[in-house]
Amino acid sequence: MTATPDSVALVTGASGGIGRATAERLAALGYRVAINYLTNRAGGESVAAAVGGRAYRADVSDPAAVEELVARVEAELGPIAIAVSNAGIYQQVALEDVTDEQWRRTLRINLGGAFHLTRVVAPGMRRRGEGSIVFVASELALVGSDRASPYVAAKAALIGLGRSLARELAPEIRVNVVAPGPVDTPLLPDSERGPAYTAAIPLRRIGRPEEIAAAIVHIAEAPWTTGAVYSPNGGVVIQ
Amino acid sequence: MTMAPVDRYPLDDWWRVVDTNLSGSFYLARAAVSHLRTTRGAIVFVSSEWGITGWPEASAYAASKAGLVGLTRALARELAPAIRVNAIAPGIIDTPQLEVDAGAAGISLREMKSRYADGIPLRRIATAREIAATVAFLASDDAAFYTGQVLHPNGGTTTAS
Repeated sequence: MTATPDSVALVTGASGGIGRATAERLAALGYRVAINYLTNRAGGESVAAAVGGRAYRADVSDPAAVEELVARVEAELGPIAIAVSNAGIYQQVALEDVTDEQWRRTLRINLGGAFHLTRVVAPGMRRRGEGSIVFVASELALVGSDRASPYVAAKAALIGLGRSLARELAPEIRVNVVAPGPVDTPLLPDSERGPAYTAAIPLRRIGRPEEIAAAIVHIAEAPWTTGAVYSPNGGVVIQ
Repeated sequence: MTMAPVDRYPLDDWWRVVDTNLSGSFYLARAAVSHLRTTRGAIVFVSSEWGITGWPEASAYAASKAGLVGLTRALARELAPAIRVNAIAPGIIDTPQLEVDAGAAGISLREMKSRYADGIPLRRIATAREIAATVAFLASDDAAFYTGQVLHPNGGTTTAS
């Protein structure tokens, strides 16, 4: 898939971090980019201004809001060629202390966001005969993590969802997953920034959002790749 | 388990599947954890081959079962060394669900079993007893050095990690 001046890409959770870097990279390649955000309006607007795209506020855990988001993007920018489900939340919390609401909200955003987005963008992509969807999971889904059970469960579920939808939506639509290791974003806990932690990473440093964006855009455009899980993680996961 | 294309999957059904299979297991683990710390017990989650490989029109089921693999890995790290946490990801099993699947596909139960068996290196589907034996193994002291693992009793269909 090569960008034409009309190609549209939607990135959820794009007001900062990996989502922002992905929006910037897509824009540099010529895509018209829709920047979704939930709370950080200033961030969303500034990314949109920087990349010549448009910012859209929507809560991806709300199916009706996602329907409205996609309808607005397609009406204003055009049919979506690439959809990146990136919006996510993370909390460090011990199993016994996870509240029902924390569990529910983490699943609804981190897993539901991808489901809600796919069910709305897929019909149009299928009708047009092509489309590419990328879910942003986490390396923690592959190796587990201490005190992050809702996050890890939701991100692992995202991998199962991606593999199922890759089978189901082929051959018109490709669905892939990127599972980043520790990356320098606001979501990264302080415990994963110090020298003790990075010393244990084979490549001796945490990742940069731009490096993950490169993997996301690469897999989004890879014409014979579907159902794949790429994990740029500095060697944290070698299996 | 409802089967439906993702863009026509009833929202309530989708979340009912995820909340039963994934959230239900989470709630059980959360409620049991303080007891299991005193007994130095073990948790075994029942995932599924479809959670590993994905399956068309089974987005909710596959997501929920893949989520259980993540939950296994997260809780294995978090609850060690007191509690071991493992999972199984069985392939096709001879259960009443097969009759439902056969009905939905408009074929006989026998035909359904034979279709599944054709794709399995061991040329048959599993009995529930065989799968239960894998669960019992992971729960037992014979598996005392297993935690965060997923065993795949599936007749050889996948070698996925």
